[in-house]
Amino acid sequence: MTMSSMSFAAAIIIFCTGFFTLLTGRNLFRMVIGISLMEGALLLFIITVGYVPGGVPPLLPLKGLPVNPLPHAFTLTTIVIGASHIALALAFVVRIHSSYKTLDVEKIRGLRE
Amino acid sequence: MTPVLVILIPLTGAFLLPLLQFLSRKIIVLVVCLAGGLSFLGNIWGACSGWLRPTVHLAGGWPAHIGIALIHDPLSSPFLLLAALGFGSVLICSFDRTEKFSWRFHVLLFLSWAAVNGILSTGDLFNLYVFYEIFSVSAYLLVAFSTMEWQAIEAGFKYLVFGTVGAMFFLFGTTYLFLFTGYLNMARISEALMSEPGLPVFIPAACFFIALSIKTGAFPSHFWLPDAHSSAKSLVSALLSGVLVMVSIYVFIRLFSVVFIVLKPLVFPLMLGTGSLSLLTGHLMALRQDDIKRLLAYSTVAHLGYILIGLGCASAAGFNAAIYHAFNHMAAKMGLFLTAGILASHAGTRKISELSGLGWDLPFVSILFVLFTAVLVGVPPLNGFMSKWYITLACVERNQAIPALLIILGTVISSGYYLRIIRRLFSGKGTQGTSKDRGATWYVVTLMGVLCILLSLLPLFPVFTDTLHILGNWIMDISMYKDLVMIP
Amino acid sequence: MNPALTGFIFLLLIATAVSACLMKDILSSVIALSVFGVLLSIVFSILQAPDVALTQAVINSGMITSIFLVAYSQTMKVRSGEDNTRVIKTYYPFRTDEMVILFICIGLGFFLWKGIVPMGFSSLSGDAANHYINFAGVETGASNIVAAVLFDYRGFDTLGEIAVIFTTVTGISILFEGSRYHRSSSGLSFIVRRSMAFVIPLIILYASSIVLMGHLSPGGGFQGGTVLATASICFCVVYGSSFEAARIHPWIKETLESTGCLFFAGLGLIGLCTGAGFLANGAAGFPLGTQGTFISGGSIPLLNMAVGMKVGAGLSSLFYSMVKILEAPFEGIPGEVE
Repeated sequence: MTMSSMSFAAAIIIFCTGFFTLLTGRNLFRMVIGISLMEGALLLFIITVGYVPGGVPPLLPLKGLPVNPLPHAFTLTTIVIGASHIALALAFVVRIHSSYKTLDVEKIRGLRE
Repeated sequence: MTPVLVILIPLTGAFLLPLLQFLSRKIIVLVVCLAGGLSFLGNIWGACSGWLRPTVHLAGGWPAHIGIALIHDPLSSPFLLLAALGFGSVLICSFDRTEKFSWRFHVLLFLSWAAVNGILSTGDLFNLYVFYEIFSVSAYLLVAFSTMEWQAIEAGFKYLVFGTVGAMFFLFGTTYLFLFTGYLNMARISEALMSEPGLPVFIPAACFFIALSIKTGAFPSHFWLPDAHSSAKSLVSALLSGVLVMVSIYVFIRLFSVVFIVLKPLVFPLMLGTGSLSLLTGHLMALRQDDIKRLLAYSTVAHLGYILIGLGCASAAGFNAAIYHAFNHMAAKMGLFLTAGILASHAGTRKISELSGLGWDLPFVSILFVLFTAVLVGVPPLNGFMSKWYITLACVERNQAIPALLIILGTVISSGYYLRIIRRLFSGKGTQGTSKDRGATWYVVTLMGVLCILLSLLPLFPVFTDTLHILGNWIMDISMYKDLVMIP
Repeated sequence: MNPALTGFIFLLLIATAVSACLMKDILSSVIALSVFGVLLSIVFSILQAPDVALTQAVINSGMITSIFLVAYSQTMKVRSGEDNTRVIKTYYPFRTDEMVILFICIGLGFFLWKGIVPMGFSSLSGDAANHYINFAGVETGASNIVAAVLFDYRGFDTLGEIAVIFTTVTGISILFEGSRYHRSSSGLSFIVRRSMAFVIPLIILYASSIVLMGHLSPGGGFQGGTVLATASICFCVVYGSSFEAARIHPWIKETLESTGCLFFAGLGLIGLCTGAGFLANGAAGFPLGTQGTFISGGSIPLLNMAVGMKVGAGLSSLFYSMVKILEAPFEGIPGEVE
């Protein structure tokens, strides 16, 4: 089991766990936690794509064979965009709660389907 | 230079507005009008220059495989034009006297405009993702903008959850393509995929298909669309149904005709199937609705089905017909949402059963409503009929009998539910009294009516059919696109 | 690294994620999520990605956890009945529809795995990566290749990214409009308040160093800006929510945020005006300096400062918007469900 294969496996398992949480959560917070897990798994997936076994961080002066720096750049962007999604989702949850006084998905009208 | 300016002008307008929030309202209105006017002109200029002489701008001066390339080509120019008309009309409507003026709304509108222009101009897959996210986040917020209504917030949350899942699948697809080829530029990826046949390309293709059908609102994941488009303010619903769904269609065309060209036999039949199911679902669900805006939202799902069927034919004729239908749908659906908004606010309710007699109170608006429904149903001399006819022809050319039959079935069903509304509007006596104030919305609705009539007259000119041919050929033949982008 | 140790860390990561999914209490799930974030950041440093590890720790484990806790505390005020216990208890640990969804998720997992197996877990470097590794130092003058990619080669993406944060902050201000601050409990004890007075300047210094040295070592505008926002969150926690609101008006933060964004766009326009392309660095005439010294990298430190200003002000105003008490009444509060 190389580092890359363990890492890919972990990313996919966490993504599916997050998806499961999103689909079966009865509480609005649980849905947001599911989204957060999915985002984390996606980040791990992207970084593993760029990993070179036995590599060094991409900082000059290089001390060996560097890992691929391009996934790191777009992972940074993805972290920021994912954090924005979650902050916005939480703001929506707080507003929905203030109307309905409950967080149960079953009791909130439009989210029944 | 143009592709950058088209994105930069609305973006700078959005960034500038919070600095002006304490100045007088007149100055803010002036800045909004200026930014809006410049953005409109920028879009038109971009559309013209993309059509006549396709331009590439390399951001940072780096070549396409290292940096980000921004491209205006004949595929993006009709969509740029569509965005200009749609956003311009919404901007004019937002100055209506009945709306409370809020500068934050204009910030969101300009951000959305900049994002749409970004999606239409970029040639890089990850850049597409970033602009798609700006577009989605501003759409969630525009839906939830009337924060005093619990429906709007709930619809916004549902849209957010669906949209975020779609975004994650989109990024999965991008990462798989990066894993396979090492590039993020669409033209380069396409070439790399064509030269290496052994890769499992159907997995990223499936990820992208799922992501785009969630974001567009096509059949299995359309559940957010009726809620979002009906709970938003009429202005925002018009923008969402008219312009923003068409941007997702553009991404469909760009991705599946350029990047995944190796998978043509697999992907396009799937699009046909999705389109047919969306058509059926949209029309059948619309029959059961009592809320006028929800009915119009389901009708949007159905028309998305028509456009996807057009795309799924995978021929120049199919692509042309789909893009023509996108224009017609924009003009008619924006008109419908705006007139429905006027009617609903006059009657105080959105239920169709309570709209009796409004046709006699507001005759001008109601006549325009009838015109727009005729366009969408497909009454013969109008543009809706022409575009549906072209789509059916494209299906028949490809020996796809079932979608062609479904189109005809859809026409029958949609006439059913639209006639129900019209009958209700003109039944009984006018009870509410005429209203004398003509807001900005009335001008825009008239404009949309004129646009529909113009679009109906277009097929009479041979210039139009030539234009459609050029468009179709550009989409089918991607070597011209690739030569444009990959300047050595 | 020792393969057994890395395997153990990955197992711990999966265990934290699964426990965040299965725990009944929301607060425990949020804390598990936070631990997941920290472990993920450790995994990123094992995978030789220090920039990303720093960003993950600061943004996801720091900022997002604090926003989760704020949202949780806002919703704890009024609860009607039990929210998260399962009503129907069957023999199986999961209900039937949950089993179906579990199979769908496992199927999704297999489907995603199939895309990776043919590549044999090897990494393909590709032309772009080789170009960055070999030429980034010379063409941009920065020592941190990731910063060079983020702010020079693919600077347009970064412009989009700051637009996303801008949209989110604007949106959250809209959602919480019409609310006001509530004088919360008086913050923490005297000892904490006095010690924070010593610590806060050091936090701000640390944040500034992350921003300014972004082109030399892992760091940059996003990470430094978030640490700055964290400093303002400390004010809220330690001194009570109305402390900072009284001293720094929200519109100052909005102005700072817009100025940061316009500064970024303006730096890009310089490149456009000299004909080298939007957001060009060396080609637009920015002095590239000697690689490895503080004054190097051309426009990269300036862009970092713009982003740091923007992200710090933006995230701080995001937090403060969410801390407000929602007081405005809503029309049409739904009664029973149809």
